Amino acid sequence: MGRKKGKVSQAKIKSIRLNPINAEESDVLKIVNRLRGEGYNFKQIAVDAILYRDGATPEMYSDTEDNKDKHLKSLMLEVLEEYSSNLSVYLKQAPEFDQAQKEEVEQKISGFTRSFMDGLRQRQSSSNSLTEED
Amino acid sequence: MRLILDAGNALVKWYAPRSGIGPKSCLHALAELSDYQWENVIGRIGTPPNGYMKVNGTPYVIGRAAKEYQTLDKPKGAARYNKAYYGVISAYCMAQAYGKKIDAPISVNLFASYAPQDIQYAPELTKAAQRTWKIECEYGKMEFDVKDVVTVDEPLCGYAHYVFTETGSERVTNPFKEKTILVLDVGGYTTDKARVYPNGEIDLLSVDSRRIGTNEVLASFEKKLRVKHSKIFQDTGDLDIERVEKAIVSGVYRAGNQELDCQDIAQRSIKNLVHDVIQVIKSAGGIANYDAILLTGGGSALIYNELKASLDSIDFILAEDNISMMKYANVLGLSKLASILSRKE
Repeated sequence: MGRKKGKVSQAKIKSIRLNPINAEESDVLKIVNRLRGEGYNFKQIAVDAILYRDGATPEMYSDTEDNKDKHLKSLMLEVLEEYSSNLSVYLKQAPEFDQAQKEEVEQKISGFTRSFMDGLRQRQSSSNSLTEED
Repeated sequence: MRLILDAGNALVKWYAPRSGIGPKSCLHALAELSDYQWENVIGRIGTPPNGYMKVNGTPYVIGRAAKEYQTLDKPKGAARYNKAYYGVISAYCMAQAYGKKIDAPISVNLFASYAPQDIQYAPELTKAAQRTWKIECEYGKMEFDVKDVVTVDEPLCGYAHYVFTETGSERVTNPFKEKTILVLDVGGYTTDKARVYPNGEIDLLSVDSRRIGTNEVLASFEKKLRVKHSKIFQDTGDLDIERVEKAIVSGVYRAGNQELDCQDIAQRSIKNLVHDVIQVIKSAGGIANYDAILLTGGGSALIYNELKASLDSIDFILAEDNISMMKYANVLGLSKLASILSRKE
């Protein structure tokens, strides 16, 4: 969606009438009604629009906790919606990993380690055999 | 609790890896106290200061504080492997490693290192430590039940520190994997060696000890220093061992606010030990039979620079990168071996 942006009116003041006479004003009324449905009053909508026109961004002047929460919430929802389907696919494809496998992985030792520990254990057993000979 | 212990002849080192305590050390000195001496120390406070403790009802003092009570030469090597000496020292280390009052007995798995020449006494070391220890110290009353004792040769602990990770896995880039290494552990009383071939194969016949160590170096250094600066040391008692070691390495002895140049004295003091260690290398086959020499133990840190200067045709590698931590290389290595040995077969 997204309507084609036409040339912005050069009028400094644009009055809003109950009965709009052009498509642009009609669109504005629709946007206002939608935003009011989302919890914003007319003053907030107007202030946002004027500041935005002046180069400010919503994050800069959204100073109430409610507005911040709503903005953050919408962003989080957007991210979750976009990636949740990918995540579920990934989880389905991931191999099963249980405790037995975990222990097997931890206990795998290299040939080097095995060789060294064999020598160490022989050394330990020779200390016991020296005692037995007494 | 897992306790790693290296009761060297100069310093006692311990480490409790799972508790995050250590590695720490104390001077190797122990004296049994009379009840009268104990009461004098405890006085009205009621809490023993650090180093003072009762072990199974008998009062002892351990570490620096013990120096003023020692009247006889302390036993060395395997002569210490009895419950009244090695056992008490291990109990002290358990108390320090736990560090707080205990309401119920704590089970301990002890991993202890020894010099290769003491291998036939390893079972005595085990018996000395494997019992219940009831302790009264600065942390209050504690009870430890030593269930298992595992003993390992010290040079092998130093090698393990260099090639294994903390969890006991081989280092991903193990620099010794394909090399023949001579391990030298220069301690206070002995210099121990072991040859390890590529793939970690230990030459079991090469693991042994020589009666050469840093104790004589420290004594010689202190004597020469006192002669050169007799006025400064006139009223000084025994010098702190760690201060002396620092002076030997740095060439400067800090006495109060004075810095005494002692580079020449240090070099002359360690010259004999360096010569003796080179003889150990020669008797092990000489540098032509090795890819590198791994140094472990605190004594190696003292002679490292002189050794490199004397034998520049082979690489001398320190088991611990931080030279001030070299005295802990063996306990750190034994901790890694403990991880491997503790895995289920």
